[in-house]
Amino acid sequence: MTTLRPRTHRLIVLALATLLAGAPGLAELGKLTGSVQADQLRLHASLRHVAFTTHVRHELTLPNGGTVREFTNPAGQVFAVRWAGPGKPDLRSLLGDHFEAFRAANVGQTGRFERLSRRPLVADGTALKVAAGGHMGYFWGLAWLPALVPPGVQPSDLQ
Amino acid sequence: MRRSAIMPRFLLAMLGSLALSGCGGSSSPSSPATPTPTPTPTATATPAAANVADVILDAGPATLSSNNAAFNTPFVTVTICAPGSTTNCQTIDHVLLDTGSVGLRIIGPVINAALLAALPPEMDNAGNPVAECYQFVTSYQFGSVRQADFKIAGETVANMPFQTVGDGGAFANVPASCSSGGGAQTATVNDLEANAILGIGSTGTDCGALCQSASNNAGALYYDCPASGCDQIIARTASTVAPFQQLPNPVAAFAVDNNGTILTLPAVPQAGAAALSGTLTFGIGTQADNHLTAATLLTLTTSQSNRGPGLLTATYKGKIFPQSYLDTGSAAYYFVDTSLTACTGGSVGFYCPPSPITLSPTLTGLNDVTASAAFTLYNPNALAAGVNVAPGLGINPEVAASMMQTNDQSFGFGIPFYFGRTVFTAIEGVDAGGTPGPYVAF
Repeated sequence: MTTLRPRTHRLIVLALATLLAGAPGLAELGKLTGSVQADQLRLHASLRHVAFTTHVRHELTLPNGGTVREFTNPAGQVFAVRWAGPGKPDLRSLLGDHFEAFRAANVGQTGRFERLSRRPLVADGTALKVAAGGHMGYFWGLAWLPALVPPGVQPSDLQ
Repeated sequence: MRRSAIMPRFLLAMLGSLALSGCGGSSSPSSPATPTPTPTPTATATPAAANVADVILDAGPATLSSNNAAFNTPFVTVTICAPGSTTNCQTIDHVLLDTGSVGLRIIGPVINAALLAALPPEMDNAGNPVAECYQFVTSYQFGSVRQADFKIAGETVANMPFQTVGDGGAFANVPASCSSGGGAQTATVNDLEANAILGIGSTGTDCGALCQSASNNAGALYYDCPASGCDQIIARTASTVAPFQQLPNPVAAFAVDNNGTILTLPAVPQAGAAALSGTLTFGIGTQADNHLTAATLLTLTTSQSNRGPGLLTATYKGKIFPQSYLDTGSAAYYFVDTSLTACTGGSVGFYCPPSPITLSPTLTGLNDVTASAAFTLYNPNALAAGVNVAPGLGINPEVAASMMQTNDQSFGFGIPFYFGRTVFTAIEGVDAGGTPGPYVAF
């Protein structure tokens, strides 16, 4: 998976949790970015920040080749996370309070929902959208919070 | 695998009675299903060669609930024995044959108690038993790693590590780090719609180099399991020979015929069939019956690929899908094409072309060889009652979130691709008929 060590998980979780709690701010973004940089050194991972006109991408590349990309809006709120790599990330941490809703959306019918057409895991609510997929030994996905997405930004912009 | 089965709800009721007439119990030798509605060819004789196993697609294990019949699922029969024993053995039918995963994974309760008690767990450096979490795309399986003497057709592996899914005791609780990837836990025959999975994909082990470091979480996670339960992720060696650590590809672990497989299945008419029989031949270029005769050979990505192992590049309507694959464990073609008519109601998720449409994807290997993978897309609503096998079904993997565009790199060719073909799958790192694996050829 996009291997996040516990501390990295926690930091991203903190950022997302703050975001989800509705009390984000630039200070949180600064803290997140600095902490991720510290983890970058510890994990021997590479980190890049790329600024777009509508948002900023923070990309952590992990030793196993996996990536986690966080996207922040002009207010410093993490509004989307995209992952890809040779394992599944800790979505319980990445999605925070939304994880249970995501899980329920995919297992709430004793597995029949997903077996029905074997489509990858999804959440399609108004507060949270998740799509995920993959193949043997490689998994990807995108989670986003529609309410926080900068105007004009589409999922395809979040590469 | 990308599964389990894809049975649309509208077919479930139709198939209820069929499932009741399915195969013998999970602990008895395989007795291929003889569904009543549609006469179809079934295996007429056990192949004589020691390297050939029968393959059948039918309604699945007899113990499946009647509304949960298997669909487009290839099954084989295997035997496991307590290490060194020739009497404490069990033949397990309806084992899902999966080229989209690696390793043998048996639903725990399928194994009879006397045998299970005699199957030793793998032990770690701390002297504790080992468990594994294995991630499929939409689900995960957790359970102990045990060792058994394994046999399929005439091929054997002594002391082979396999996963006992849904095991009890110290293995009863799923670690948070296993379930946090999301999806459903697969722990029962009903969950899996099979008694076990036989993963014979293109890699030698189920995790490879990634799991040789405890910090490199991957699609497989191995755990230290003291009596208090499993929590700590541990490193496990990738090896296809004893003493094993990771689950090996059982084919790679054979003493002979260990460089790949050849799956041969007949074509299936548009109307589908109640059952389908074919063969799985072990080895490529190792015996008189397994020469590399395919017209086209496409090399695959290896475990070292940053996209994952076993991949081809598909080209479809001018678009490139660099993370495409062949997978017997997928029941349909998985691809996104919003220009096609989508099904609604009970078959939502499938494509519902008003009339059959020929689609013409091509497949390109790393060796730059390109082959046609054209197929005719059919409407699942046209299938009759009693059908357990059907060609040409397509699924949009993003139907509920089509804006997300997370699957725009991948075109999955499921079991319908194999209908009417002989497909060679060569394992990574070994010569197979004069060409090193991994490759597929057909």
